[in-house]
Amino acid sequence: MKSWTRTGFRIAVIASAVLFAGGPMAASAQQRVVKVAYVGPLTGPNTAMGIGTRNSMDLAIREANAANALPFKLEMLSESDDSKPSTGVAAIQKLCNDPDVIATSAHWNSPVALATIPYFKQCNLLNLVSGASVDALTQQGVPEMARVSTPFGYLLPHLAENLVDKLKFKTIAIVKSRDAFGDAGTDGFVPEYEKRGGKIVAVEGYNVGDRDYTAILTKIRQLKPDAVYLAGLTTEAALVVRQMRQLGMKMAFVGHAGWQTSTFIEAAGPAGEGAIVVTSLPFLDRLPDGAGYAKRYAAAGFKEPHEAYGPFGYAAGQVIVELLRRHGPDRKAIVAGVRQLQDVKTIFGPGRFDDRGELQPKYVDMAVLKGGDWVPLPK
Amino acid sequence: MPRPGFVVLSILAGFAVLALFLRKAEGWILATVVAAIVVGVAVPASRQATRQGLAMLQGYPRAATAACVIGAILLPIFLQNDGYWIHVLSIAMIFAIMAIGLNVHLGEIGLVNLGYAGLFAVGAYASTLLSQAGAPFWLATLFAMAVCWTTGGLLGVCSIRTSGDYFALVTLGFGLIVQQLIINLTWLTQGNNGITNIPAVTALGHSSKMPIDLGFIRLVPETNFFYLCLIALSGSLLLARHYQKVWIGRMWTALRQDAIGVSCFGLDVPRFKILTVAFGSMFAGLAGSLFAHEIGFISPDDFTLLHSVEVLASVILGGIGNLFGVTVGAIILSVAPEKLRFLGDYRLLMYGAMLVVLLIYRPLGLLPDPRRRFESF
Amino acid sequence: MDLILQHLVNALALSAVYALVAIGISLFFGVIGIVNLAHGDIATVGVFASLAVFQFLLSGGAMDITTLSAGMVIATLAALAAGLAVAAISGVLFYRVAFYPLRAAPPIIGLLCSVGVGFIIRESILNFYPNGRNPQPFPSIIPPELIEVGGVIIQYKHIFVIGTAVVVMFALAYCVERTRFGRAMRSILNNREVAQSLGVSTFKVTVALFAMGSALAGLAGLMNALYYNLVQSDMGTLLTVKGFTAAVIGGLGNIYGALLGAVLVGLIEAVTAGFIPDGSAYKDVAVFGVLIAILIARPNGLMGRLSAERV
Repeated sequence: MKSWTRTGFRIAVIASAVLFAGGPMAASAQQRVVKVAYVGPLTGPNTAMGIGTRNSMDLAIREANAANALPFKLEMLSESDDSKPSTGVAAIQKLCNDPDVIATSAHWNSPVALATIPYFKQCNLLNLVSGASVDALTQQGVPEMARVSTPFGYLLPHLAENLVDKLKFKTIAIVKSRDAFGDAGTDGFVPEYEKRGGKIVAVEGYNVGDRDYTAILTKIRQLKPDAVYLAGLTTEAALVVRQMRQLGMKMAFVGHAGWQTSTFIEAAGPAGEGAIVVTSLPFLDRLPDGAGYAKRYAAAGFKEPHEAYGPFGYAAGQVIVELLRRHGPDRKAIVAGVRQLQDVKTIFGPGRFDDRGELQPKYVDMAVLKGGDWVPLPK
Repeated sequence: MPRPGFVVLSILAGFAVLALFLRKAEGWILATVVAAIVVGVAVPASRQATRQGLAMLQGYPRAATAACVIGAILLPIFLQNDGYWIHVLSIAMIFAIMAIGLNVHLGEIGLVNLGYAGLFAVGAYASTLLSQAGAPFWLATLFAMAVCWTTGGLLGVCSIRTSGDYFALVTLGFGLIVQQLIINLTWLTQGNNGITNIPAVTALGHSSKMPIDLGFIRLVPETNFFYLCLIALSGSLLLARHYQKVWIGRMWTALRQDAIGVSCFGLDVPRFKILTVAFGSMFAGLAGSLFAHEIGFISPDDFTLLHSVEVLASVILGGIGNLFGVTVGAIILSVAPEKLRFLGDYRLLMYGAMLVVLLIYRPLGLLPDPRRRFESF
Repeated sequence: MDLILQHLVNALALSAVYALVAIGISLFFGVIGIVNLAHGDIATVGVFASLAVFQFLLSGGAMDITTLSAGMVIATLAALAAGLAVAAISGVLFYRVAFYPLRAAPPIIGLLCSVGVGFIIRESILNFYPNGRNPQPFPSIIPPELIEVGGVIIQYKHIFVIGTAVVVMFALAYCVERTRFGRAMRSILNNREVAQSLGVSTFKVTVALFAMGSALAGLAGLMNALYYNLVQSDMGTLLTVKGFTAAVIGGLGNIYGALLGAVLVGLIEAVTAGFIPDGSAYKDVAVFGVLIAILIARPNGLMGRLSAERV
C-alpha cells in the first residue's frame, strides 16, 4: 500500500511538471485572436437591459465578421458585473489580464462604472460606455473612458424645460433612489427646474428593494404637487406609480430614461398610462438606421428583446469595429484613436467624438406611455 | 529519495497542480477533475490512500509546514503571473482571515453570528476613512482592528443576556443596521456610491500599484497584496492557534460544554465571553482593511447578509473548530464562484445546491475537528 | 390626526402580511429548533404557482380583472388554491429533503441549509419561470375603489388583507388550542421527550406543521402580491427578514407573540417612514434597533416561553 501511495505521488509530480511546462507552449502555438468584450448586468437585477445591450453589440460584431470588414476575426466575450461594483472590478481585472481583449463596452450601472475606471486606466483598455449615465465617467480626464450613450447632463435640463414651459407643472415632489443613479437624477434636475420657476415641494429617498411606498406617498399626497418625479429604476417606478394611483393620486408621473422600459409598461399595468419621461433612448423610426437594426436583430435569432439600450450597444460595437479597422488590434492605439474619430457612421447617423470622449450629437427626446407603449410626446 | 524531501516535493507539486487547475481547468476538464475528486472521496480505497498520504505529511510536520510556506510564496510564479487569479486568491485569503475570526465565535464558544459582514464593513470603512485622511496602511489597519474589537465587545455585551438563536438575530440585525447606515450616512461613507480611489499601500518607497521586479521576473502589481494577505493570514492562523493551545483555549472548550460548571471554578464568564467575542471580531478589522486597500473601492454591496452567510458557510463546511479546515473551506468557497462563472446564470443556483448537498452529507464539514469527536452539541 | 390614522391603516396592512410569515417561522423553531431562513421563499413559490395558473387561465386577456364574471371567480379561486397547495407541498418536501436528514445535527447547520434552499428557490424562479428575471404584474382581483372616512383613505385591499389575516388568526388559535393536532404540537413545544414517550409522533406532527406553516407563508405571499400587484423572484427575502424579526420580538414558539411582533414591526416602519423627514430610508434601522433593544431587555422576546438556555 505504501509503495502504491508513493508511486501515485511520483506520477503526480511528473505529470504536473509536464503539464506546467506544456501549458504555455500550447498557448503560444495558437493563432492570434482578437476579442472585444461587453460587461454588464447579465445576472442579478437589470438583467434584461444587460442582455439586450450585449446582444446588440454582438450583432454589430457578427456583421463585421460576416462582411470581412477586418483582416482578422473578432470574438465577442461577455462578463456579468451583477450590477455590483466588486463583481465588476473582478470582471474587468479578468479582461485586463487577457491580452487578446482589445476593447470593451462596460457597465450599465453608474456605481459599477465609477468603480472600475482605475482598472481600465491601469491596463490601457478602452471602455466605450453604452449604458451608465452618470456624467462623471468622462469628466475625470481618463483617456480610456468614452461613451456612446447619453449622460444625464443632457437629459435633465431638457426635462426641466419641458415640465415647466410646456406642461406647466410648477410644483413637483421627487422620489429618488438612494444611490448614484438617484443622486444624479436629482442633482442635475433641481437647479434647472428651480431656475425656470418651478418649486420642489418634497424630496423622499428610498432604498432599492423597498416594496411599500404608501407612507411616503401619503406624505406627498397632502402636499398636492402637480407631478411626482421618480429618479430611480424600473421596479420601484412601477411600484410607486401603482401605489400612487391606488391612493387616488391623479397627478402626473414623470421621470427619465432609467425606467422607460418595456418591463415598466408590463409591471405598472394601467396605472402607468400617461407617465412622461425624458429619454435618451431613441425611437427606432427616428434613427437613420433604426428600422434596419430592428430587422437584423430579429433575424439574428436572439431569444431576448434588445430593450431600450440595445441601439447603444449596437453603436458601441460599430465604433469599436471602426477603431479596430483604423488602428489594428492594439489597446493603446485604440484608446488614443477614439477622441480623434471625427467621422464615424453609427446607427445614430454620422457622428464624432468630442475631447471628453462623448459621441456627438446626443439624442434627447420626450416620451409618454400611451396605449401600452412609449410614444413621442406630441409637440 | 529521503522522505522529508519527498514530502516537500509532493507539496510543491500540489501547489503547481493547484495553480494549473485554477488557470486552465474549464469546461470538460473542470467537470472531470471535480468528478475525480468526488469519486476519490467516495471510493474507500482512494480514501485510504489519501489518509495515508496525509498521515505521511503529518509525520514530518516541519517539512510539510516549510513546504506549504514555500509553495504559497511561489504560487504567483506557478500561476504564471496571472493577475486575475492572484487577485482572486488574495480575496480568498482575506475571506479565510474572516473565517478564522468567526470560528472564534462559532467554533470556540458556540455563538452563531449572522452579522460578521457588518464587522467586516466596520473594519473596511474605519481603515479607509483613516487612510484617506493620510494615515499609513499599518496604522489604518491597527485602527480598524481596534474599532472592530470595540464593536465586537459591544456585541459581546449583548451575548450575555441573549444566547443561541436570539444572539443570531441580534447579530443579523446588527449586520443589517450597519449596511443601512453605510447607505444612508452619505456624508461619511458616500452611501451607495461607495468610496473610490482608496490610496495604494506604500512601504519603503514601494507602492502596491507597482510590479515587483526581481530581476529575472517582474511580478504583476496584484502580487503585492498576495504577499500582504499571506502574511496576515499566517499571522492570524498562528495567533488563533496559540490561543487555542494556551489556557484560554481550554476555557473555551469548558465554557462550550458547561457554562455553569466553569463559573463555579471561578471564571468570570460574562467578562470572558465579551473578551472572546471582541477577540474574534478583531480579525474582521484586519480583513476589512486588507479588502478595502486591495480592491481600492468599497460600497455597501460588499457587506450584505449574503457575505455573512458565506463566511458562516466556510466555517461550517471547512469543519467547525479546525483552523486548517476553516481556512481551506474559506478558500474553496471564494474560489468556487469564479470557477463556476462558465455556468453564467446558473452560478448561484449551483452554489445553493452545492451548499445543501454538502451540508446533508457532511454536516460536520469537510475536515471535522478531531478534538470534538467526543463533544456533544 | 388624519395623517396618523392613515399611517396606522397602512401599518396594519403590512403587519397582517408579516404576521402570517412570522407564525410559521415561530412554530418551526419551537417544534424542530431550526430557524428557517427560506420561509419567505416558500411564499414566493406559492405566489408564482398562483401566477402561472392565472396566466394559463387568462392567457391573452388583461391581467387586471375589473369585471366580475363566473369565469373570473373560478379562475381566481383556482389560482389562489393552487398557490396555497403548492406552498404547502413545497414546504413539506423541503422539510423531508433538507431538514429531516439534519435532525441530529446542530441547529446552525439547519439554518445554513435553509439559506441554501432559499438560493435554489430564488435562482430557479429567476432562470426557469418564463421572464422570471423581471418583475411581473400580478392580477388585481380587489376592486381599486377607495373609501374616504374623514380624510383617511381606506382601500378595499386594506380591508381584504387585514380581514383575511384576522380570520386566519382566529382559525389558527382554535386549531392550536382545541384540536388534537394543536395539543400534540404544544406538547412537543413544551417537552419533546415526554411527548414522544406518550405516543405523539413527532414526524407526523412536524410534517403537518410544515404543511400548515408553509400554506400560511403562501397566503402571506399571495396577500403581498395582491396588495402590490407586482411580484419578483426575490420578494421572499424581505418577508423572511421581517417575519423573522416579528417572531423574535414576540418570542419564538408563540403564535400570539408573533402576532404582537408583526404589529410592532409594521407600526415602527410606518411611523419612521411617515413622520421623520426622509425617514423611509431609515425604517429598517429603526426596526432592528428596536429589536436589539427588546432582546437585551427581554432576552426571550416579549411573550417568550422558552428559556434562554435552550440552544
